[in-house]
Amino acid sequence: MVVKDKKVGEVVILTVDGEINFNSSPDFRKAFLKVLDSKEQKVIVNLASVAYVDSSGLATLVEAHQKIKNSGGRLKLTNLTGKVKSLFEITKLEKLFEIFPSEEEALKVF
Amino acid sequence: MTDPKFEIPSDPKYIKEASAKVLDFIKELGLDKDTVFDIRLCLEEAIINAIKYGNKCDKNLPVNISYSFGDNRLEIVIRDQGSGFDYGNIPDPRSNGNILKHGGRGLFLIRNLMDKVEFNNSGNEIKMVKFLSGGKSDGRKG
Repeated sequence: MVVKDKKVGEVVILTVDGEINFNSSPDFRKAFLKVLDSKEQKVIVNLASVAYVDSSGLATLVEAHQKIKNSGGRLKLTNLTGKVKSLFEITKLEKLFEIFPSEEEALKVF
Repeated sequence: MTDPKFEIPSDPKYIKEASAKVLDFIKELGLDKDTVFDIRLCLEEAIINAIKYGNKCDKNLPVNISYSFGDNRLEIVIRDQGSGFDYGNIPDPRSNGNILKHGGRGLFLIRNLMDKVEFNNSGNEIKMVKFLSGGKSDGRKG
């Protein structure tokens, strides 16, 4: 799994490529903690290239959401692929997260 | 013929290898992508639970994996060496009090994505069944 970051205005966009699973979720955690350390408060996680997430990956995304929220920021998820989206529906995490079809849509409402 | 079975050490680095072995077995069934995703996820969640909670990550303890297919029924059994757990008393990870918790979603996903889930009496063995026909899941949809 690779996490790339870029900045659009005040928003940091993390683009994840690969799986967020039991073995790779610590790497994703490191990537968002780095964003938090740099005091960024507007964060988008683009999941277009994530075809597989397990319960550890979901838990790490929940942790990112909470940590960013507790520091006064907001986290939005974009471009969820079919099965990953269905996991958010089954677990009701779709109600916890702000989920958008594209980065552009998410950027509009920060 | 006996069902294929193998074991892995309780080390997360073996999850992918174990999963690939079972997925290779089901490849010839010509299942659609979504069904393969569900099976892989449930298999890996069960193995992670066995490593983490059952065998407490003790690399000397094996996780036993067996699988079979017949009569449109795929059955996967995962066993750890632990003393089991109270599988009848699992909190709902969707509830307001649990939605932010780290754990609890693995077994919930297994119960949602598989058609039948059974434990042995002590709770250190899980049997997961998926009904399949014509390359698709024939049971409930996740």
